[in-house]
Amino acid sequence: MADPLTTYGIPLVLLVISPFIGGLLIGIDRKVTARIQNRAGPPIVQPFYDVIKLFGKEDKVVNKTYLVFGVAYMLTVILSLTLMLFQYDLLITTFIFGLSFIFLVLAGYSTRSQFGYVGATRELMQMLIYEPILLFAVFLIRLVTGSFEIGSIYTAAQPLLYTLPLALLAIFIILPIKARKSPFDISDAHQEIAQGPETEYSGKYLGLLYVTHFYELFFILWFISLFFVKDAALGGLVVPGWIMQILLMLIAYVFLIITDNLTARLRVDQMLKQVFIVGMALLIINLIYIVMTGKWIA
Amino acid sequence: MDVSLLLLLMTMVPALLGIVCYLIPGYELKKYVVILCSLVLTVASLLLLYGGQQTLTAESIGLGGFSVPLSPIILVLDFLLLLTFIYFGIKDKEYKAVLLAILQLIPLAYFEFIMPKTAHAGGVTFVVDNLAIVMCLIVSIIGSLILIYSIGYMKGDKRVSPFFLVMMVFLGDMNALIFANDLTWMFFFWEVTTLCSFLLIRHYHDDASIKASDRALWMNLLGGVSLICGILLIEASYGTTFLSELTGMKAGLPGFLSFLPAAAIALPFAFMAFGAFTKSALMPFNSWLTGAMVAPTPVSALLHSSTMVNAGVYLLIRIAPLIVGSLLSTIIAVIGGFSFMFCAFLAVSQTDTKRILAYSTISYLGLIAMCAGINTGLALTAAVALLVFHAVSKGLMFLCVGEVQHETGARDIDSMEGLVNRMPLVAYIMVIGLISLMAPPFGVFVGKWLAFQSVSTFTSISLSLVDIFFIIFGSIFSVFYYSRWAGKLLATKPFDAPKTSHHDWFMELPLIVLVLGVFVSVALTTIFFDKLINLPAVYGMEPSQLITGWTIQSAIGGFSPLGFLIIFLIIILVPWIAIRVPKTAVTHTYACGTGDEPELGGGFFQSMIGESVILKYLDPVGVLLLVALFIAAVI
Amino acid sequence: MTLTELSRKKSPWVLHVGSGGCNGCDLEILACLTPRYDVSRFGVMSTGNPKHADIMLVVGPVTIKYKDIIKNLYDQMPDPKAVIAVGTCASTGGIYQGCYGHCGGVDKVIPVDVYVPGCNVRPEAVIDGLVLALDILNEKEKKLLEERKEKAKGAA
Repeated sequence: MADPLTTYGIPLVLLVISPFIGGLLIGIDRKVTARIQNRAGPPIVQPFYDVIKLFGKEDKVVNKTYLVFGVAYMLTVILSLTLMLFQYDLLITTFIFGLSFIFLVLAGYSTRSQFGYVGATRELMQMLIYEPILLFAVFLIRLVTGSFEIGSIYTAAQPLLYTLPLALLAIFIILPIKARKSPFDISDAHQEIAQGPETEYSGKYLGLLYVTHFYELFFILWFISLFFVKDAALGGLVVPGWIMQILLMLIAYVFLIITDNLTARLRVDQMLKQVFIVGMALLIINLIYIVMTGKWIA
Repeated sequence: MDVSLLLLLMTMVPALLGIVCYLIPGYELKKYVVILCSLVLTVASLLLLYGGQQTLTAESIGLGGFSVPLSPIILVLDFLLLLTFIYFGIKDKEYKAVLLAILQLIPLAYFEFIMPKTAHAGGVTFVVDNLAIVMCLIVSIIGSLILIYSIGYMKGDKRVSPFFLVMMVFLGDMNALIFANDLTWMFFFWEVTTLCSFLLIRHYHDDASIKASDRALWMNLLGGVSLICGILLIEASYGTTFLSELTGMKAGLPGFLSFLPAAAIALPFAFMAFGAFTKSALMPFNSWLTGAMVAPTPVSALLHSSTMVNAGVYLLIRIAPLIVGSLLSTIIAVIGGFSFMFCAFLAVSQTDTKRILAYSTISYLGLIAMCAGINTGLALTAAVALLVFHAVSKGLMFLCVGEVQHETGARDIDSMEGLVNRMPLVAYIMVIGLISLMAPPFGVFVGKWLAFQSVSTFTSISLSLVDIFFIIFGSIFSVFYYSRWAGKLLATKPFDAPKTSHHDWFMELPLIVLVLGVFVSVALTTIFFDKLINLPAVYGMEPSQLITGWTIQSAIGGFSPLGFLIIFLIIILVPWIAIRVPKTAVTHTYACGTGDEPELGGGFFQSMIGESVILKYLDPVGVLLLVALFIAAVI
Repeated sequence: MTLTELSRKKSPWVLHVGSGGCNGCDLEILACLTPRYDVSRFGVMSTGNPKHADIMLVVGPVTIKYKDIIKNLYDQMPDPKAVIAVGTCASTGGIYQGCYGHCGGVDKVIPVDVYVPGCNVRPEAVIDGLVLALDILNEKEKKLLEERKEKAKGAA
């Protein structure tokens, strides 16, 4: 196979720089949002200032259990990102990513505060909404590439974007849910439930949670970038696969920022109806398309 | 050791010890008989595992020089059993049960006395293959642990003697059911489990128990009617009632059914599947299992989660090789998937923890039935794996809930808040049990993952696509209600000191053994697949082909249970050990600065998705699916 | 200046507490977050939660009902923290001086670091006060570390 440098070196480098990329993306998001609102906004590296300041603060905690689960949440997100970058099994990676949210929910419940309780329940309802769509998209990917292994996406005949465009659209719809932005930032509804499950964290544990959000953002954007990993021929120019990946990540991120600024927060039942009906409809239409054009592999 | 001796130890000896226990006075002495029974069962099953696969033809038992033929005895006991059901039905004025028992008598009498049977040489009566060994290990080991648990739980109960008698007879009978190869014998053992379940559910003899036991009785009798019709049809179509011989034989439509198309040779299996559905309480028969939660907790743990309800899906797994690729198999998968998803959905709105566990049991049995219906090698491996892992985890959960109810007198979720401070051992074991039922890398997840893989492997587009929806939604609903419960257990107030509670070792030792069993069984998953699961030749693959080292690798994906278990333990234990909370850092929860601890609760959505709201939509769909089952058998 | 001290100056998270009064200064603080004055360019984020906050902006004379709540919120804030009394009422009691229902200013309840007078206080004054508090945070942390070192030396 390819030499160890590319199979192990590049994913390792990506794993190490992923929190920095995630943090910069969040900083750019705050800056662009500020510019859209006609104000100056914080500097791009603001998230890193936030994290370092948090590590310099004292602890004020409620009990030990939720701290353990908060750190477990972070470690599980890093684990799932590692699995994704080292091209393990996509189904297992998605389930382990889901496990990280189970830990967050357990952390939210075990703080025994009303904001944690409502936030954790809302987080579970969010899981109820985006996990089916994510798992169904993974199922469609398996149909088209013949296997759940991420490596098979790289060796497939066509980029996933050509065969699963509507699935990508469905994932775009659940993107605000994962990134905790409007219109679906329900579990972190600042004005309603303080910070939701993260209310009782302080000091270095809050800093770790903040870093986890960097990793999470990178994970979901990398998942989207898997939809176009092949070299594309545009005109006479051949664009290498990794540039297409970065392009897709940027398009997804710009979509996220614009949606965040254009929309207000929805209620849970509105989110349920809209995301389910539209998302599932898109996925089913895509499934019918694959089946009728025979592009699936048994 | 001689297999006939082992079988005797596992089937007859528990029943005899049950009678001894009934007759011995005094709770102290009864305790020792029960412990002896547990030891006998455990040791015998482990010896059987050591002995490997074999068969036994036992037409008769040698008792002191006399050779007592078994078949006539079983026949006589069968009729006595049905008369007992009629007696109980009349006593409780439950005329459905009387009617159904009579409806069973008719085919049974026809089968034994009137029907012309093709003569054939004595077949193998007891088959000890890997599936049977695995089921026997579940029944014997988990059953023994539950017996020891009930010594502590039933202390001071008024009707202890009949309780232990029926429990031990049940364990012996369940073992016999697993090994029985002759379908008529299996039918007898099946109906004995109905009787045991009926007697144990009505243990407390109050109104709710009697009503629940009557409902369980008539639903299981309905399954029994279906089962005996199926056996009759098998004798008429195949000429034999020995399961192991059916794979090789050609079937022909019996004379009185010649008006049906040729594919109707699947009809007996439809009847047997119907019987399996009632025993495993799949939709629409779920109400007997949820009602049976009025029984004492050892009964719920033994009969209604780990062993008796497994008999239904065990039968499905046994007949699966005979209906590979048929429409009947697909409909079985759809019924199983339907139960999986909607029983998980129903569990979201429950506040009584035993009902949550009951719905969750039906839900996972539905998943096993779905895997048996999908009927590929991968799917059957998933079914057997789920059978084992689910039995261990669910038995553990029921025992924990029972202990909590014993100590605190309450079993609804809101009263279990902050249990880790009041009963630390049980509460932490509960949290581990709940996580093991939904999270990677534990056993139930491995089964679900294999089920997902097998659902997404199909060679042609068919009705089985709807199984994808069932499995995705079902697993997400399970995550919902388990995480909420686990979170409630962990919610402790900041300035509450942990209390020391007294220990009842009879109840807590089985919990500790089972939770260790959860971890050990996950770690040994690959060895389990390699050595203990064998598939019939019709599937063209063996689970041992999936195993490379410590990883399960199929054509479309791979996973290493042991590796991920180690990583999971690191993820939880390293923060647990490394995080120190100094006393000065403890403050109140935010609560807007009031300094009070809030009262928390709610979020069960009973008015929107409660039982009373959606069951009236789900029951008709369930009945329609059953009708589709029979139609599919004849198309 | 170490990276931690720089970060503390660059990222003050604010807890906005209104403890009675006419809410005029509350609105002026909220005006700071609007695009015209834009205090978020200093990295200020308004959290609703003392456990996440560094700086507490207190508005209004502390009514007697609110005394315990402000103490609780102050206790729940992790060190290093600063308190800014915004408006005349928070500083000295303001127009409510002599009334029965209040404590007469925030410094009667919790230690205050910066006083920003005004009725209403102008947003530019609030930003001025915030910037003053940033340096105080770092000084407090230095003092805390020295105290801890002395205690450890004393105990040894």
